[in-house]
Amino acid sequence: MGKFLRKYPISDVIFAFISFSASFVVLSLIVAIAYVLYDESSLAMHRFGVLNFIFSAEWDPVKEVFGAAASLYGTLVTTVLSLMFAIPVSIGIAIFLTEISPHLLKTPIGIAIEMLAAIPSIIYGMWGLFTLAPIMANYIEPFLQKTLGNVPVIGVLFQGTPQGIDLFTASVVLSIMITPFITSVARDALNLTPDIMKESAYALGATRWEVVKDVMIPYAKLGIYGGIVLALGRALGETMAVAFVLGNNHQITLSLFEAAATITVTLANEFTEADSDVYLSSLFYLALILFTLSFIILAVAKFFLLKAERGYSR
Amino acid sequence: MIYNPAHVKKRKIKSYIALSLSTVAAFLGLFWLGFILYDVLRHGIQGLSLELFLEDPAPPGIEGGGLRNAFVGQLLIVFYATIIGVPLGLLAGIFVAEYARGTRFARTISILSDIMVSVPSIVVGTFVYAILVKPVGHINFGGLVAVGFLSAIIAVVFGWFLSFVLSKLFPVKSATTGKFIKLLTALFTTMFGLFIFLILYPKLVDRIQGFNGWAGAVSLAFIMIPVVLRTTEDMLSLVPWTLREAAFALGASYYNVIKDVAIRAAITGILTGIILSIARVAGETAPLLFTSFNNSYFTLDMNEPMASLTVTIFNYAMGPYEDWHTKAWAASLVITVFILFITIVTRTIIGIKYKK
Amino acid sequence: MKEVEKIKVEHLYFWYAKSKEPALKDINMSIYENRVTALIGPSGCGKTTLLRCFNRMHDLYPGNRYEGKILLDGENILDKDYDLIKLRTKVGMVFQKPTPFPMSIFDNVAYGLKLRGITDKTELESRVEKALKQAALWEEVKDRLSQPATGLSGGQQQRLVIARALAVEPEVLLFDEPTSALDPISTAKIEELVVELKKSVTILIVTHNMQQAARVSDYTAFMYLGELIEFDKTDIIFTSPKKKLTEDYITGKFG
Repeated sequence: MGKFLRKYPISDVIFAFISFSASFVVLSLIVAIAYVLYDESSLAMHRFGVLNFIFSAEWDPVKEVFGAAASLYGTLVTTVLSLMFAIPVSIGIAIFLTEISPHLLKTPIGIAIEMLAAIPSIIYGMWGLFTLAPIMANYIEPFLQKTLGNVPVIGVLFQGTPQGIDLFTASVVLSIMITPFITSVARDALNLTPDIMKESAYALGATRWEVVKDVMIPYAKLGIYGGIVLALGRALGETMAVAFVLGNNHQITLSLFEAAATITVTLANEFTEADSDVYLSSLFYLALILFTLSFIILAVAKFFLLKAERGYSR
Repeated sequence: MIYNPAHVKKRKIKSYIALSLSTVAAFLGLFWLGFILYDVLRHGIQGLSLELFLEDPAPPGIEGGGLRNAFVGQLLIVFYATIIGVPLGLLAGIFVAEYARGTRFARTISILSDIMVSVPSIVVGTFVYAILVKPVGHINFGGLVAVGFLSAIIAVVFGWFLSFVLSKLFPVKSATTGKFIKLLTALFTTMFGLFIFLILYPKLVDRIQGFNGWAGAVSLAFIMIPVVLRTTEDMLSLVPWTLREAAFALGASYYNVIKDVAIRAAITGILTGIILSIARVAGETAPLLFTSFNNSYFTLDMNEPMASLTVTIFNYAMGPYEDWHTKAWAASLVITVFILFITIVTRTIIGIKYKK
Repeated sequence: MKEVEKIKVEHLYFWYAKSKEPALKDINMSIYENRVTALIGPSGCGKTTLLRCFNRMHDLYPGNRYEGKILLDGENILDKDYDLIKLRTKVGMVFQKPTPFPMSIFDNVAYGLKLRGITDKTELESRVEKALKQAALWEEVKDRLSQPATGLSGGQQQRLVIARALAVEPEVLLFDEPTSALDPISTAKIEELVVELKKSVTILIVTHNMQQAARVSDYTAFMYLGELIEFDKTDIIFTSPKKKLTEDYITGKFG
C-alpha cells in the first residue's frame, strides 16, 4: 500500500477509490435486489414450495392460497404473441432502412422509429385503453372471430365476447412497444455486412431480396437474435402498457379474447392492497421469478450480442 | 450460361414483393407513431389549461381543479433521482472506462449494467419497497443518500468557486504554496459540505413512515445509474487514447488527465446521455407505484407519499370519472411533449457531433 | 492464331454520383475470347472503375452514370433494358478480398445454381464438383463440403469464390486484384488457375502488380487518370510500348 501511495499521486488514489466505490454500488445493487427479493419471498416459498407455486393456478387472497401459474401464463402468452407480431415488422423496417430507403429519408425515419421507444409506456397504456381497445372490440376482434374463429383447432383462440380488454390487445400494444428495440439492433447488424459481400452476391446475379435473405440476414443473424432476446426481456417486464388493457384476471384461458393477468400486472394492481404477510410475500415471490427470468434472458441476449460483435470485428 | 428468362422474372417479382412488404412495415411503424401522437394530442389538448398546472385536485367526482401536486411531486422526485443517480453513474462510468480500462472487472460491470438497464422497472419498485417503505420507523437511507449527494454537489461547486477566487487573489508563485492553498481549499470544501449536510438533513429527512417520496427518487435513481454509467463509459472510450498520452507526457496525473482531457473531450456525449436518462425516468410509472405512491394533496415533504404525473395518469385513467380521463390525457400530453422534445434535441446534437 | 472479339468498348464515359468530372474518358478497346486481358495503371487511374462497368456493378449505387457502349456478343449491355441478372450470369466477378458467404462450402458454390432454379441434388452435386475441380480446390475440400466456408485459408477462400463464379458457367470472368490479400504461394496458385481458366472463359484482370500482368495476360491495357493510354499485346506493352507514359510506368518512373 505504501508503495502504491508513493507511485501514484494522492489525487489519483482518492479519485480512483471514490469512482471504484461507485462502480461497486452497481455490482452490489444486483446482488442486493436478488437477496432482498429472496428474503421477502421466503415466507411464501416455505408455504407453497417452488414447483407447486409455479404450477398452481389458484390465486385467492381470501383463502390465502397463491400460485404463479396464471400470471406466468399471461406473461408467456403476451410475450410470445407480441414477439410474433413484432419480429417480422421490425426486420422489415430494418431492411427498409438499410436497403430500400432513399438516403435522405434514412435518418428521419430512423429517428421516428426510435421515438416509438422514447414514448413512455404509460402513454401506450392510455392509448391502448381508450383508443385501441374499442377499435379491437368493435371491429378487429369480431372480424377475427368470424374468419379465423371458425377454423378448426386455432379457432379456439378466438372464442368469447370481444371486450377489447384482453390478451390480444395487450399483445398488440406490447408488440408496438418492442418493435423499435428489435429494429434498431437489427438495422445496426445489417449495416455491418461488408459492401464487398453484398457486391459479390449481386455479381452472381442475385436479386436485391436474395442478397438480403441469403447474405445480409445470415451475416447479421447473431445481432438480430440479440435484439429479439432483448425485446423479449422488454416484453416480459413491461408493466404499464399491459396493465391498462389486460384486466388483471387470474385465469388460464385458451381464448385470446379473455382478460388475464401477467406477473407485472398482478404486482401493479395488488401490491399496495396486500393485506396479509403471505399475500405480500407471494407478490415478492412473483417479483423474484420475474427478476430471475429477465436476468437469464438478458444474459442470453448479451451473449449473442457480444458474440456478434466479436464476429464482425474479425 | 444458365439463363432462364421466365425463372428470372419470377425471382424479380418475388424480390419486388418482399421489398414492398418491408416498405409497408416501415410505414406501419410510422403509422403507429403518428396514430399514438395524434391521439395524445387530440385528447390531451382538451384538458390543457392554466388551472391544470396551478390548482390542486378537486375532490373525486367534482369537476375542476388541476394537477399541481403531481407536477411538483414529479419534479421533486426526478430532481432527487438525478442528484443520486448521475454522480454515481458518472463516477462508476469513469472508473470502468479509465482506471479499470480493459480489465475483467470493467467488463463485468458493464455487462451487469446492461442487464440492469433492462431489469423490469416494477421489480426495482418492489425492491425499494422492501428496503425503504416497509421498515417503518427505521432511518430513511434514501433521504440520507440524497441529501448527502446534494450537500456534496453544493460543496464541490463551492470548492470550485473558492479555488477560482483564491487563484485570482493570490497568484501562485512556488509549488509549495500552491500545494498548501490546494490542501486548504480541499479542507475548507469538505467542512462546508459537512456543514450543509448537518443543516439540511434534519430539515429534509425523517424516519420511514410508509410510502415516501425519497423511495420514489431512489427507485428512479437505480434505473438511471446503469444508463448513465454505460453512456459515460462509451463516450470516454470514444476519446482516442493518444489524446491522454499527450497529457501523460506532460507529467499530468491520471486524475488530471481524466478531468482536463478525457471528460472535456467527451462532455457533449456524456451530458446528452444524462439528459436522455432523465427523460427516460421521467416517464416511468411502475417503480413509483409502491414507493412514492400517490397523494391527492400538495406536498413538498419527501417523507410523505407523493403524487407523480405518471401514477396520477394511471389512477385517473382507471377511475370512473370523465373529468379524470380528460386530466389524464392532458398530463399524458405534457409528458409526451417533454420527453419527445428532449429526445429529439439530444439525438440531433449527438447526430451532429458524432456522425462526421 | 485467330482472335475473336468477345467484348467491344466504344466511347465509354462514366461519372460517379455527384461528380462532374468523368471517372472514365472515352474508352475504346476490344476484349478477345479465351484471352486474358490485364488492366494496369497507378491507383486511382480508373482500372477498377472500368472493370466494374462490365457487369454494371455501379448500378448498385444510385446516381452513377454511363455514356457510350459496351458490346457483349454484339449487344449493348449498358442499355437500360438489358437484364442485369442475364448480364451477371454471363459475366462473373472475383473481388480483392475473398468473400465466402456465411454458409457451408458446398452451399457457397451451389448458391448461384440454386438462384437459377437448379434444385436437383445430383445435378447440384455434379456441378459443384466440376466447379471446385476447375478452381483446383476439389482435392482440398472434398471431405468437408458441409463445413462453414469461413474455416478455409485465405487462398482457399479465394479459389472457392472463383469456383462459385464458375459454377454458373459464365462466359467472361472479371478479377479485381484477386491476389492483393493473399500470400505469395496462394498468389501463384491463383495465377496458374487464371492461365488454365482461359481455355473456357474470357478473362479480365485488374492488377497493381506489373509482373503479374506480364505473367498471366495476353493483352494489357494501361490506364492513367481515367483514360486508356495504350492497349496492345502484353509482350509489346512490356517490351516496346508506343507511348512515353506507358514506358515510364512500366519502368517504374512513377506509380
